[in-house]
Amino acid sequence: MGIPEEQIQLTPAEAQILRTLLDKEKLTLSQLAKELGMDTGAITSNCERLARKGLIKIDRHEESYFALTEVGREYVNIGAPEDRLVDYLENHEEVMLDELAEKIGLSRQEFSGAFGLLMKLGALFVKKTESGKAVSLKTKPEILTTEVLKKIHSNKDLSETEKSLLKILVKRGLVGKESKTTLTYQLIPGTQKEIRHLLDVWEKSEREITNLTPDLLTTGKWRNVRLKKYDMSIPPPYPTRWGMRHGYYAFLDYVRQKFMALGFTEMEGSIIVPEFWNMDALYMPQFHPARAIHDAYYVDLPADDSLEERFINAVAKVHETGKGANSRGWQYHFDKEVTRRMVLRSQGTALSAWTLAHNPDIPGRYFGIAKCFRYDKIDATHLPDFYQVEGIVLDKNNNFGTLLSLLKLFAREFAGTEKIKLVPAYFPFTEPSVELHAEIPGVGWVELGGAGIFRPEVTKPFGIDVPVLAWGLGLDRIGMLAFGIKDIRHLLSRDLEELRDLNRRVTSAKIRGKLR
Amino acid sequence: MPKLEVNSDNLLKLIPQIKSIDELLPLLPIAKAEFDGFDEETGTLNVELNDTNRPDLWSAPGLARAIRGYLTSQYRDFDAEWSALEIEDTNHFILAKSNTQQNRPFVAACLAEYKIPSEEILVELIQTQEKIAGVFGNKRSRISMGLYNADLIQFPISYEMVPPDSIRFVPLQFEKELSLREILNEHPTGIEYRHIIQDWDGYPVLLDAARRALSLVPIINSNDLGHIGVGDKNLLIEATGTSFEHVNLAVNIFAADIEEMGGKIYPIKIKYEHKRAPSQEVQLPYVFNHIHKARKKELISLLGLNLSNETILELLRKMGFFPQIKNKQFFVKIPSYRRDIMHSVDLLEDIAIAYGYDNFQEVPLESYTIGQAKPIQHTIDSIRDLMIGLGYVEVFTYVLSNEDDCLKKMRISEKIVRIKNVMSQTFSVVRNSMLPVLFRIESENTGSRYPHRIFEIGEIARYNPQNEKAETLQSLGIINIGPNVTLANTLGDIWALLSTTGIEYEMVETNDPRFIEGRCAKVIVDNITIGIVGEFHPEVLENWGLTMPAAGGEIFVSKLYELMRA
Repeated sequence: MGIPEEQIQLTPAEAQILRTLLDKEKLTLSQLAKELGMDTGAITSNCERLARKGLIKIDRHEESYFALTEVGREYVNIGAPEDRLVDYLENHEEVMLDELAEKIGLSRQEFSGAFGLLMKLGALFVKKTESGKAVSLKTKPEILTTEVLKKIHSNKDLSETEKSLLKILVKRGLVGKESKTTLTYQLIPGTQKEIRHLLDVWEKSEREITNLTPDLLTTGKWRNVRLKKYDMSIPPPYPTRWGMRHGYYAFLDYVRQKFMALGFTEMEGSIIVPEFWNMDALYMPQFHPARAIHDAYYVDLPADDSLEERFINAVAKVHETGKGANSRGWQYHFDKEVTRRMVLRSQGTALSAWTLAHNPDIPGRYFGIAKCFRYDKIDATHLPDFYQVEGIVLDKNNNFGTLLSLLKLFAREFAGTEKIKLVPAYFPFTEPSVELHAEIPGVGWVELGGAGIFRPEVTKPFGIDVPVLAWGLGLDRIGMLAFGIKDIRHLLSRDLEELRDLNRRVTSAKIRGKLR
Repeated sequence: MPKLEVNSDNLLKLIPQIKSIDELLPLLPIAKAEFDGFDEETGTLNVELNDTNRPDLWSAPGLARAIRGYLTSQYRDFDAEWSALEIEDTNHFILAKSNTQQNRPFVAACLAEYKIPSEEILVELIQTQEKIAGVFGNKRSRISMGLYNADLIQFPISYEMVPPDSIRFVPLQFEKELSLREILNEHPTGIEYRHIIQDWDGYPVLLDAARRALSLVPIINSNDLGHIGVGDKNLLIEATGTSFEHVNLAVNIFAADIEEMGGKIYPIKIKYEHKRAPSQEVQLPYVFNHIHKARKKELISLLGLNLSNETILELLRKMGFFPQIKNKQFFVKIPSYRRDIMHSVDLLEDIAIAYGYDNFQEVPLESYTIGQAKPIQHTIDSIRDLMIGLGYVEVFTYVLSNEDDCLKKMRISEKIVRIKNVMSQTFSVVRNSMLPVLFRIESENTGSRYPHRIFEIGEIARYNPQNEKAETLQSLGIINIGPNVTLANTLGDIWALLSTTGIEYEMVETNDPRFIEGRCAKVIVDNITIGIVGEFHPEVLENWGLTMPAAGGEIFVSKLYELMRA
């Protein structure tokens, strides 16, 4: 028969029993108890369990036997009446029958029983005298009752003659007939080999401990135990409380750090802005194609009455006539109501416009990581909101050459290349305008962003007299180059399981120092 | 940005200096044009024109002109040619009636002797007309254009507003006659553009001398008088719109293109009954006589280059201008098919492009500045660190949401910032709290191992009950969800967070339908509520399809930040 090993769990006591039975083949309960130094209760329950597991066989043997009654047990201690009588007569010549019971300390009933028995055995001699009958010992009986009782009491074998006495002892109420069950334990024949293997396996595992406990340490018991070997190749359980940064936020952190290191100050602003900052301040005429109702999200908020009149007037003038910026302007009627309408910021440049109007440092470098909203169908590549990173550099020495230098700096820092190409571009708020392309080893030419010098129509209304370099970089490209992720928007996964992996990839890139 | 489809053979014919598409591609950036594909079989070249203020480039002849001019420095001086034109037939005029002055006052037109040689050219002519009206003209609302076979028209033409049912004609692509009103209701183009005119007192039309309709402006031409085809040789080009400058520009661009292709332009007069135009009579093509005056410094100082006057003149010529120097001043004549020169910087950019962006030298950035994050960022980042240390996973959600998520599922009703021009109902409001967007993440992740401990700091918009104004705030949302989640351990996290800020706060029991009654508290600092925490109401969980207990809350980081700075 086979023992399904992996299903068998053993307690240390069970293993000890099995080990003993393997050595001794067959043992009764009491033998086993003696062998193991355990109490029989523990043995029986453990053996019952072992039997249920199919590891041992229990034999029950029913047998009857003689046992002492209470009186019998008393006689073991003080001697049976007939033996005490014999004992007494051995030490005295002749004793008067009348006095004998009292002298030995027997009751009348005990005495008459003992006397009758001895007379029957022919052990006494009775002589008639003047003062009554005198008793003396003729021969000492061959079998002493007390000895027989003692043998029964201690479970010793009786001789044939002694056995013949039993009937009388039962009759006298000194011995009773009882029955008992003997439990014998043994391994199931033929399983020795398997049990030995089972025990070997068990030895190796269960007797070692899995965890070190405070108790083991305080008691010093750790010295006596062996810590179980741990299979280090098994995948460990997933940590349930693993906090981590979101990959995309970690990416934005990286971008922020980068710009700070390059001497840029972060701009901030609300996602809900009047059209003024989003468009008008950037010299985008109110009839501009990108300002149609279907290009920005309009919100149901009242017009922004906190917008300063002086700003609106200066911007309106430059749109209408170009006055104040030495320009021809857009030659149309500027609507001062439209400019106060609230929209969701559609371009990060809104932050730069606001900064220009609020006493920027000169020289100064600013950047913004701006959440923007474009009115677009939402699908895998068009998310309802997205981030843009852009900024400005204010300096009296700014010109096309410094712009080139700035863009080269960005290419080096974010793309690890100095090979850049500027391509003519168009933005309503910069002139000249450029597109920045960089040659990445192994990738080729990629577009990194756009830049230019703010038009005077953008800077002059806010009293800025120095040339302002304006730039915007493609976060997708930066992410691709910095993290080796094809499309940084993959980081925006909403699947928590997938996110855990993606987040770790970003952290991993940071840890490995792979970020430029 | 307009995308153009042109026949490469026709394009290359206009640029004799180059022989192939391969030679053309490196020159496209001169015109801020981007290669967008080439079909060798059909010879169709796709390009994207990036400058929305240069509609003169949105055609094969226009693009060819810029590239040829860059290579040769030679441009035809259309302004000189057009100035010399005289009207031969006194009937060649359009009368813009006074009733047009309110809604769409301006009209421009010219005649062209040009035989349309092929279907391809015809398609390209229509394409240019549509790009100008669609992109530059804001989907016809500012400018629309029409092309006609001039031989069918009896001059003079009248541009006027008429009652919607007074005139009937067969529109293009239709066979039956419709009233103007019916065109707006039945013709697909009518339906598409009717919003421009339907609220006006009358509808603008162009009528010939026999009172036959040429066009319902800016909707559709007549199938009889407003239809052109291959072989037509006398054309009328017309534009109407809201900007005098731009309707004239549109016609000028077309006139220049046709002349580039070998046609000949004949002038037309516009007679304005109203006073919106600079003069009562205007001749087209319209010569703007735009001469930009600039000192040398204005033209090159931003370039960081030292250029001789001769070089500057040459570079300007390459880009299509007609410059002269008088008394140390540059007088730059701007051709009348361009209106994008508003400031000297516009010329400066063209000088830079002609000089070549590749030829510039770097000028080092020398000024010293100190970089720093926006002030609240330190608070945001410290809180993020704390949350991550407490075992929370940062998530990324959208700012836009919807009322069902933000209000109904959360069991609340309050004023919320709505999008007026909704694109998708799913994204129709600005979120009022971080909790609904975090719950949305949870509802999408019921299959992911629990417990989930998620958070995000993001922007929300809330109405301030005091002044009825909306404010945007940076806000921290926290959700702790899983089989063994209890309010107690979540409160422990909140305690860890708030106590670390060092600010003194109170937790005041409150009732909020999002949370279980008796298991919710406001976080109050100096009598200002900066957040709410509690155990989420089972109905909220049910609304989001969640079957795990959840606790959490929201802390207004902007408010916390302001209080900590105070």
